[in-house]
Amino acid sequence: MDDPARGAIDEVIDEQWRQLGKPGTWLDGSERVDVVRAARSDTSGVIAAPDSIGGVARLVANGAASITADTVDGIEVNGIDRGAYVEIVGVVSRVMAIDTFDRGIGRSPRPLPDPVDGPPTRAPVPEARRRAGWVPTVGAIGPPTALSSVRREAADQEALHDVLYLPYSGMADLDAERVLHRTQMELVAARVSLLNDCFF
Amino acid sequence: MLRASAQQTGRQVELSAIAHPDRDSLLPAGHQLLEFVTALIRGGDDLPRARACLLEMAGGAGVVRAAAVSGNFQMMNRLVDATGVPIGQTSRLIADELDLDP
Repeated sequence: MDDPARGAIDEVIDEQWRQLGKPGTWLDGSERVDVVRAARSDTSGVIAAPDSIGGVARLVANGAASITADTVDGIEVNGIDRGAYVEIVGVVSRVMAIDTFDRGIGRSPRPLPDPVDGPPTRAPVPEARRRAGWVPTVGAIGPPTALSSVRREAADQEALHDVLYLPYSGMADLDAERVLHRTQMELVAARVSLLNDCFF
Repeated sequence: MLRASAQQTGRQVELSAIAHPDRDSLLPAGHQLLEFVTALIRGGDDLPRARACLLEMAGGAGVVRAAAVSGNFQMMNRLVDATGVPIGQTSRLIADELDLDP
């Protein structure tokens, strides 16, 4: 299946998959690989108020539409701070994107990334603060800023969004064409969202 | 965005096909796109057949693009739901039009 952009997609997702095993901002490499593993699990292990990194990952992967402000508060009370929560959301979301793309084109699931030793950077983003959403953001919360309190996750999410769909800077182009016309892309987007009970 | 894109580019679209994929969306390869996406997200056994139908209508590049956009929204749906990005008024109105309960 040929697409002029297929090489660009593979280049980004191959590199991001390798990076998933490396220490992140709040999670170490082994914890991030645990998140990848949990994101791929079925719905049987999903609980509403998880107290483990894997539990949060399963909830985000399989029950994101059920998450509320109280859920995120409860996760923090259970010992997983909001920075780690944002990183888990970022990793799970990207795993779902990459696995879906691979399955869609008939490719087998990737093996788990190899964990790399080392501490997380714990690099804070001082300007991030809680606004209308459930996590701190730099500026008003929206799709481009939702992960902005963990810079690396925000950057990786934006890069993936660019190759899989459109760059954020091109979102206003309602006549965009990447093999599919924007209307066809939006039809796909709307159906995916409906099947995920997501109404954004 | 679907309605906005269709209106701005002079295309017709039947929004109810999003919730009822047996209906004609009025877009090129619309039926095959909806069947492919449904099989891909639900994880059923009919994905190879749906992929083959889309391949016939939209070519290999169309399949790659449909898979890519599907992947992107698997990501974005979880991201916005898990972080509390507020639902806008337009989305609420369209959900109401499709008889969905956000």
